Order: sequence, then C-alpha cells, then structure tokens
Amino acid sequence: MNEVLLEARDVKKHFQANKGFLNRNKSNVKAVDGINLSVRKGETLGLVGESGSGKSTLARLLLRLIEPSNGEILFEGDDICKYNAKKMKQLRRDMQIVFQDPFASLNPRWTIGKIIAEPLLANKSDINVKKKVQELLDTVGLNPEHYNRYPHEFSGGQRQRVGIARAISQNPKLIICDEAVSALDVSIQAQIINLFEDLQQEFNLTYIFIAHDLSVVRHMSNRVAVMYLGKIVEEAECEQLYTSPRHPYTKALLSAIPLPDPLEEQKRQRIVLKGDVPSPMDPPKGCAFHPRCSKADEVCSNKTPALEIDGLTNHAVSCFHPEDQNQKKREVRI
Amino acid sequence: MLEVKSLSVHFSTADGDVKAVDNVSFSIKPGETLGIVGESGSGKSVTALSIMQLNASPPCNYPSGEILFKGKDLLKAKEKELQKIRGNDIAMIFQDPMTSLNPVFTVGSQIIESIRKHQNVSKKEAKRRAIEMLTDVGIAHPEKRMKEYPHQYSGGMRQRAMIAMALSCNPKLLIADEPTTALDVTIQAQLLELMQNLQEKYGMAIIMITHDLGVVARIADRILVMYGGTIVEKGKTLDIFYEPLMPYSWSLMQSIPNPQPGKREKLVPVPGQPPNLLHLPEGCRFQPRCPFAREECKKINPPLTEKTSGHSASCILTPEEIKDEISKFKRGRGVI
Amino acid sequence: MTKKKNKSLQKNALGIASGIILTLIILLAIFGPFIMKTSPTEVYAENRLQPPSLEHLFGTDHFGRDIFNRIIYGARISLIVGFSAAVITTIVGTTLGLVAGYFKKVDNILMRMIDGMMAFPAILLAIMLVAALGGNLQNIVIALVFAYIPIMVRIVRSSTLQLKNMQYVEAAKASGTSNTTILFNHLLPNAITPIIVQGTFIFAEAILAEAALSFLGVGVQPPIPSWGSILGESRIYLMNAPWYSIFPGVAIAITVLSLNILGDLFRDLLDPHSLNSSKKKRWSVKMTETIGNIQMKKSVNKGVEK
Repeated sequence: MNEVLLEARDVKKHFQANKGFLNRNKSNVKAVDGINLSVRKGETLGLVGESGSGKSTLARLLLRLIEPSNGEILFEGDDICKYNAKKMKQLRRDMQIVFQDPFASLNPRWTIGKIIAEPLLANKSDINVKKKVQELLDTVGLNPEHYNRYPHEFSGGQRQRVGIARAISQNPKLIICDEAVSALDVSIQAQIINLFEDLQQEFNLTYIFIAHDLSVVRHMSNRVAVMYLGKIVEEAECEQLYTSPRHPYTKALLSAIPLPDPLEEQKRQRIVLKGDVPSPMDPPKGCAFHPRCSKADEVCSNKTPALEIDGLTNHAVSCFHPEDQNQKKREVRI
Repeated sequence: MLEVKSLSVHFSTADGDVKAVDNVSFSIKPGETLGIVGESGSGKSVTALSIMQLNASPPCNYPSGEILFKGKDLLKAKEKELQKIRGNDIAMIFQDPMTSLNPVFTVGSQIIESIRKHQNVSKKEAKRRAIEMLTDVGIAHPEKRMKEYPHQYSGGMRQRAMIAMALSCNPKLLIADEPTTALDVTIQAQLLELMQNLQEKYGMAIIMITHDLGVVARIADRILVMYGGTIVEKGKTLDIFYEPLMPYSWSLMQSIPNPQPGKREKLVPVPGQPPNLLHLPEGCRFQPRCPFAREECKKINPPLTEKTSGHSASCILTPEEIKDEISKFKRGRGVI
Repeated sequence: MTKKKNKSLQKNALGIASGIILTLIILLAIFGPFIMKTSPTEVYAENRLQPPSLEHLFGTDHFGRDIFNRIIYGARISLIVGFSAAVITTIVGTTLGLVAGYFKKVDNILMRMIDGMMAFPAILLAIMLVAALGGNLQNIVIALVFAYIPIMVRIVRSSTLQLKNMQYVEAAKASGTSNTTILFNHLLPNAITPIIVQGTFIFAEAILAEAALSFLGVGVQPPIPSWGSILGESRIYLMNAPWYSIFPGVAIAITVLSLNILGDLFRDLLDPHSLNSSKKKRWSVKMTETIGNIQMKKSVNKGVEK
C-alpha cells in the first residue's frame, strides 16, 4: 500500500496560443503548471476540478500521450519521459486510460472484439485472443457472444464497459479514468462505479479518478487532489478533505454540490462564489483564486502560495489563509 | 395555470412509431417550481418542447391530449397565436446557451429585439429594460457587456444572458431544460440561486427539467419522475425523497453516491438498461429492472394513481408494501 | 414515415439502375470488339455520313466507319483512362493525405506543393502535361492523376485531421499501437466514405477530361477512337449529320451520370450505422434486400390499384 507507483515532479505543460488574428504576440497557456503528485499502489487518487483546471491535460501527461514542457514523471521509480519508443510501448501495458465519451472512444468501424483486442495485438502477446476477449467481456458484464458486434449496437453504459475491457486487457497496474462516468445516466453510472470497484479488488488496480462530480470522486477515492487553473490547491485523505476542507475554493466547491436530500438542502450554509473561473490564458497574479475568494487580501494578489503539507495529517493546502477548523477538530479528538 | 391532460407525443421513424411521451398529465400553479426528473430518453425534454410546440413535426405528432394554458389548448392554437405566447407568456432556456444565442449579433441587441418583438415599446425603453434585466441576472457593467458578442461571454454568463432574455417579457412560466448540466458546480450554484431570487421577484412558475436529483431537491416544490415516456411518480418534493412510492424513484436515489460525510456505502445500481421506446416491456415498464417486481407486474401496466394525498405513483404495490420491501432490502444489506 | 422510406428506396433504385447500366457498358467495352465484324478504323468511303439505320445503328462518320462500333471501341479507351486515373489518384492521394494529416512536419511541405499544383486549373495542367509528354494513353493517365491528386489529398487530409483527434485514436496510442496501424486500421476505414465517393467522381471527371483532351486534339491520336475524339471529329458535321455528335455525347453523359449517382449511393451504404454484426449481411445482401423491397413495394402498389 505504501509503495509509490506513479509520481509527478513539478510537471508543467504550456501551450502556445495566438492571441488573436491581428495580434502576433503569442501567449502561453499554462494548462498544467507545476504539479507534484504521487499515487501509491492499490489506492485511488481522485482528481477534482472545474473545466479549464487542467485535469484532463494532466491525465494525458501522466500517460505521456503528450510531452510535458517541464518536470519528471516517475513510474515505479523510473523517469518515463526519458524512455525511447520501444520502452514506452512496453510500459503502455501497465498504464491505461478510460475516456469520458463512450461514443468517441470506440472506433465505429471495428467490432468490439477487435477494439478490446487492440492492446493485445499491439503487443503481440502469444495468447488465444478470441478466448481472452470473451473472458474480458464476461468480466465487465457483457455477453461474451457479442464480440463481433459493432459499437453502435450498444447503449452508452455498455460501450463504457467495452472501453473498460480494453483498458484491463493487459492487466495494467494503473488505470486513469478521465471523467469515465460523467456522460452516463444516473442509474447506469452506479453500475459502472461498482464495476470499477470490483475490478480494483480483483486485479489490485491503482486508479487515478478524474471527475468534476465531487460525489462520485468521494465515493471512489482514498485521497483527493483539488485542481484550480493548472495547480493543485489542496490534497488530503478523502474523508478529511470532505469533512474539513482547508482551502476556501474546496470549501465553496463542496458547498455547491446539490444534495439529493431536500431537508439537508434547506439547512445548509452555501458559499456561492462570485464570477467565473478565469481563463488559463490570462490567469490572475498571485494566488489564482484570489479574485473569487472571500478571504483574499493584499498578500494573495501579489504572492503565489506554495502547496504546504501538514506532516501529521498529510493534508496539503496552498493558501495564505487556510481554514483552521482542521486544527480544532484534531484537538477535540485528542 | 398550465394544465397538461393525457398528452402523448409520437415520433415517426423508419423503424416504427416511437412513443416518446405516453399519456402524461400534470398541472402547474402560478409561482410554483415543478421539477421533472428522468434519465435520457424518458421523455422529459419532449414534454417540455410540446408545451412550447417546438417539436419538429413531422416526424412528431400528437395522437391525443390537451395542453391548456389560460384555458386555451396550445395543441390546437395557430402558429401566430403560439408566437405570441412563446417568449411572452411562456419562456424557455436550454442546456446549451451557445446554440440558442445568435453568434453574429451582440447579446444586447438580441435581448432588445426579443423585448420589442413581444411588447410595444420604443427602442430606448427596450434598451433600458434590457440593461435592467442584465443587472438583475448579475452581469456586471451591463451597458458595456451588452455590446459584446456571445463568444465573449463565458458559459455561465451566456446562461445568465439567456435567463435575462427569457425573463425580459415577464413570462408567467419559465421552462428550463437542463439549464445547468453543461456548467461547473460553482456556476451551477450561482445560477440556481439566481433563479430562486428571480422567482421571488417576478413570481413566475418554473418547470425545471433535469437528471440531477440534487438540483430538484434544492429548488423544486413538486416533482414528476418520468421513466420510459410516462410519469411514474408525482408528488411533493419531500414525499418523493423521503417516502418514495415507486421503486424506480427509490432505486434512482440508491444509485447516486452521497457527498455527505460519514455515509459511504456501496452503491445499489439499477440493473439493466433503460427501456427501448420501440419495444417497451410487457406490463409495467420498470418491471424488468425492478428490485421488488412480482409475477403480476409482468401482466399489468399500473396507471398513475393517487396513493396518499397529493402523491401518486404507478405501481401495484401499496405504500405499506413498498415500505416493507425497502426495510427488508436494507436489513439484507446490514444497513438500518 | 413512408415518405422518408420511399425517398431512400428511390435513391437506392436509381443507384442500382446506374450500377446495371455501368456494368452493361463495361461488358460491351470488353466483349463488344470481339463480336463486331468490322474494324472501327477501316475506311468505307462509299458509306460516308449515313444516318442511323438497321445496318448502322448509330449511323456512320465522314470516313464511312460505323459509329456504334467506334463508340464501343472508344468505351475501352475512355473507361481505361477513367478507371486507371481514378484508382491511381485514389491510392496515391489517400496515402499522401493520410500521412499529411497525421504527421505535422510532412504536412507543411506536402501541402505547399499541393497548393502549388492547385494554382493551375485541373484541365489546363493536364493539357500542359500531355503536350509535354506526348499524347499516348499512358501519358494521359499520368496527366489526369496529376490533375486530380490535389483534391484527393486535401479531402483525405481534412478527414484525417478531424479523425486523429478522436478518442479512439488516443486510446490506440495509449495501448501502444504503432503509427502505421493507426493510419491504416483506424483512420483509413473511417475516412473511406469521402474517399470512395471522391474516387467515383474522379472516375467520371477523368472520362470527361479525356473526352475534352481528345476533343482538343491532344488526347489519343486518330484513327484510334475514343469518345472524346469521335466528338471532336464530329463537330464540323454537327448541322448535316447530328447523329455523329449525339451518340458519343449521350454515351459520355450516361456513363458520367451513372458514376455520379453510384457515388451518392456509396455515401449512404458506407455509413457505419449500416454495419451489422452478422457478417454475411454485406452489401450484396443489402442490394438484394433493396431490390426485394422495391419489388414488394411494386406488388403492394399493384394490390392498391386493383
């Protein structure tokens, strides 16, 4: 449990973007801006953030589907950014991704059997591919006899199962789920969440679970990292983050989730944030959150806070004025 | 104020008639918020579009039903009359505000246009009203932002502008079709609060269509639960959430992860797939997926009947039987 | 409902009719010359400019040669030129387009070259090339390939640019799939619809272009007949021997029209949603089904009439 599987050290990804048709100045979009992250074997790390927070870019960086502008990505202690194509291909067996859109992530002209077998064929494993595919279909709860059907013959939830079967076909160690349940209907979503949980137990998988839905992330994760404009603003054990968030953004985010419980909804105190998420092309100076923060003062608009970790609780937060209810609670407990 | 009586909407396709909405009746009172909850394909959006008569027809047709608005049947109304009602008495906002705003006109001119189409006012007066509306929906510097184009607005701002446009003619009814689904949680919270405040100020009724139980829990007074094109449960928000009388509503609530601390348990998904509207199952529509289904359920399609005061469900089980089943189920999982 | 179905049925029926006509023309082109008793190039001065009769179905030309005969021989030339130009353009253009769309570095160089080629009108480019290379069959095909390749590359490239951002391509990359496999197994099958459609259109265009080249006298050299050259030779006799111009014109028109309709039909048939899990049910079956439907509809109509 304590062994680190994947570690990101100061990973950055800056995209160049034209500012406009006539404006020749190019600006840097800091999609991912200095992320430090580690995932231990067998755990699920939740990654939460609103659109534009850079969570999907981070997912692709961690898999080296896009090259980072800076930083190292260590998989089992080795920097994978230095790998050549051949070594990278071998490594791809160990890390897989499940995408959000079950329609766009499956090639419409391939049978699902071929889709699931793709990773197997890419690595030329000497196994009975058809038998393996049927086993996989069975594992993810689809009829093994349907291996020669086409994606359009399946519903969204079933397609997502196909995507999962493809991801687990090579017994990977790590699966990154990029909004893997967001596009599904509520009743189907729960089926897929349970499938993820069952597979984790069965194959001892490590997940990085990316979602904007905080309820789902809380349900899945052991630890949760909150991203805002390309940076991690808070990271903690799941329960701790949800019971005593320290960053004002996390607090607002949590209070914004609509609860499926009308009485609770009437009682609760909501923090409604002002304004929108700023554009990553033109992020605010200092703490990126300060224009929307109720606690912001002069320091916040000038200096960027570092992600500081509390050694006792492993609760990391990057804020000059973090909530201290955490401290109080601990005192009470002791 | 608005009454929908046994409305059916069918779509003709190459594979046969799709009964998108089947025998749906409900009503809404002034100033009330009605939530329509359902999964994709449950017919919730089609119902809303039928009220506005915005379904493309053909392929859409209405074999039966009445939609009475202020005593007039909208299904029989002429296009001219409908145009008068649309936007003026009944306004609608959609999930994707980018597609409902015209990208080549400024936001301000679109709002002014919409005001002048429905009300006989001067351009100056319309402009004043547009600024007032934009201020109301919380857009800072409305004079400046009126001159901007939709792409210069963020997603949340566009939806605010849409609300401003929808409310500019003081409609009696606002139909919101998944207005916050495409938006982030913090923006969603802003918009829901805004809609509640505006409802207090203008007193319009709202029909809120969503798949998110949390959203209806926050703002709805009454809820319709739709499944497979028909209403399966109808009642006050509290009743539906705390004493569901239809196994589907209950299952739906079990299948969403609860974000509140200390309540983490394995989810209970609804098994199977939503029904295919071309081949609905025999008997009760939910029966193949229902945890409490009995032998009779395969034969009888139970109509929506009032079980307790103001709370109807279409299930053959009595409220007591459902309570029993739920507690049995909970005991089975070791949760009480 | 019925309206929509009828429309697709009509389209399919038209497509099938075009297919049958094309097959007939191809069969005639292949086997026709073996059946013909006379040579299409032999001169019979006494039969000059005879109107259509039983003996000479389409009449005769100014050398007394049978026009029907010459059109059938000409079909060989026209179809060979059209077909070869279409196939070569499609294969080369698709490969270049895929590579250009997928690899950004190749794209910059290749597309500038293509832009340069596109600066000339296709037919002018072809005339220039034929004039430079000499007017034999091979050179005409080469010229036409050069003339049509830019469009093909552009079409395939734009599909590729769009498709390479699909998540299944990303998933393939994440699975360690090689670039070649991604290009030919993921991207190509999904871009096949515009490729096939464009291919059939190029076939039609090439037939027209060959006719135009021959008409202008830079195509196949007389006395070898091609549809274009027959048309070209006929123009002085348009007033006193109209059949001389009409029949080769009609041949070109029917063939090109059939190809265009067929291209449209392919667009419908190649929709991925028409893929079916039961592998036997392929085009052939769909075709027979469509024909079956038409017959069924006819019998239904008859029933109504009765």
